[in-house]
Amino acid sequence: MTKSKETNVEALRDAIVTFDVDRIGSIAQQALKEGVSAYEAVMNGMAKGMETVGKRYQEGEVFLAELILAGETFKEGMKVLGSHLKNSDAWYRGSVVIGTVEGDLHDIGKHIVASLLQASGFEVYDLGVDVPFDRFLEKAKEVSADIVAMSAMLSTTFPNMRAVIEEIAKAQVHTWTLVGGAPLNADSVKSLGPDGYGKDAVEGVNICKQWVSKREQVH
Amino acid sequence: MLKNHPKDDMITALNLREPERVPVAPYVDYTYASKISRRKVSEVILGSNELKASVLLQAYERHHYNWIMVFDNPPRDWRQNVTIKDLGDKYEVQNKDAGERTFLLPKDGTSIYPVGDVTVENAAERFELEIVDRDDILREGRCEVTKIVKMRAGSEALVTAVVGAPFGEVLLRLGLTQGATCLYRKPDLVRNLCDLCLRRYIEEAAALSEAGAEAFWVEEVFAGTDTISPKHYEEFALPYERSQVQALQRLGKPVILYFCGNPMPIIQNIAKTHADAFAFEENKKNIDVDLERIKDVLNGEACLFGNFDAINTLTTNPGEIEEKVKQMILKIGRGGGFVLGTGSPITKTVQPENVDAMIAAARKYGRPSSA
Repeated sequence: MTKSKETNVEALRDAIVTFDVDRIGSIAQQALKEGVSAYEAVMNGMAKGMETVGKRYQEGEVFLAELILAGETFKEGMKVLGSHLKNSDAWYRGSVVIGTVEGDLHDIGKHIVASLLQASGFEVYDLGVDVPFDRFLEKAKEVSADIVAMSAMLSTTFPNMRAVIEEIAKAQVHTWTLVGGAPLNADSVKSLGPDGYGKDAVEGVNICKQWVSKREQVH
Repeated sequence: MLKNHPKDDMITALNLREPERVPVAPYVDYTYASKISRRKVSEVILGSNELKASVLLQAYERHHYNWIMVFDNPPRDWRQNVTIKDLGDKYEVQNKDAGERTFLLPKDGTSIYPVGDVTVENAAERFELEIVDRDDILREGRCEVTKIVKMRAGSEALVTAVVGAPFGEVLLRLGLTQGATCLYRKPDLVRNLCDLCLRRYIEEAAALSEAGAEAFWVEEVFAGTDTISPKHYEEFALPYERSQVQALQRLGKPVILYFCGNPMPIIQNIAKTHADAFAFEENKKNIDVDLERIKDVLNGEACLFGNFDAINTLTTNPGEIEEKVKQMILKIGRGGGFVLGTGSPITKTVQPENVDAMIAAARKYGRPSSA
């Protein structure tokens, strides 16, 4: 990569890390003008910036508000770069069906996770809130989802989460199940039986990345 | 033979002295109270103020804890100004009045207000509309639940009105995405909205005080470090918490600040609000709320509410509950200035016998250390 292209990629990375939601669009356009491929701009620029923010979040240097803002900055950048990504570009990692289970109308956590998944190259199918248990499997089959992710704020929805996990296991589809949410802890998760539990949004997304990379290695 | 009334024990603890028994102040809202009355939650929420008060009083009479929380005081004729759509397993309640909000109401669950119902463009205007003068609040019957509860049980239990906190309300109404962006891009808007909220809450508190509220429970829902940085807490949330606490204390009533989320990195600052008492959530969202450390920081200058686990422990069995209450009281409940509270609202999956067990254990182990 030429020095000029490197500078542009760095500028994209920095824009994410400094939450420059106002300028990232023009920085992305400049990068394309200078010959940086959209793939390079996303993978080595913005996605690296998101990784940095994610790491800082887990180390307690930045907080949820900054994580959200980084995700929004990423989305703004993708408005410019997304349409320039070619089908052959290996940006997309996999697909995730996400929703808040039936009986629960809270969506903040789900929204944050969905945003970070998109910023990490996942195709996200957001079913919304109060989702009946069979809808998760139905959608997962329809889109051949790699992962079904469920969020909950209310412990009263645990039976519904369990129902989703059991349905997916019975159907024998190649779909991992991930859960997250305020009332969950290691003990309650054991009784639900998902493949993974994210204690926060960043951990949840990292688990998803690990799963799909395992699948790529197997194939 | 107990000399003090249950309410006296609450007041004694809030005044940082040691009561005859550790008082118990569980978070009982309409969700659990409706269960005791064998009614659906939606029936109560959509019902009259008289029904709301009666349900809270029935729960109190069932358990005889030391306080009664009062919430959701809509205007007397509020049903005339809403349209209610039946969506099957829930209702959509739309307010025709621009100053009120639309919410969803599961048929057996509590109201869910949409997060992010205002935009950067209309937020200030909406918040202005929501400021109602104290006299109008009283005239419209918005404090009837408080009045009825005070009349019927005010001699026995501390009538405590629940109010929001400015910063948390602003973040809730803007939504986390818009709110996070505004903290960085439009800080003046955030401050302006907090100012407007503060004005609204002060008017509401004045009316509630006149109606009979004897204490205030201020809920700060989005200011913990699981959401915002310590810097943003200090800049945006703390000044308004302080102002609100001072304003409510000027009404002559103690203020309990219920701080949701992670308080630990900012506990020294939270203490600077100078609330009369502090309450926190139970350990969840991977947050370890260290009450022993919090007690050290408060240094005997404020009352501490125990955050008994309403989610995982109160759903177990009386034996385990008794043991956990005993541990909590032995660790931080001796010497006065302590109230056994729950970290979050009691849900409808909790058996009443478990609540009884929690209260009985507090009364058994919560005697003065000299006894």
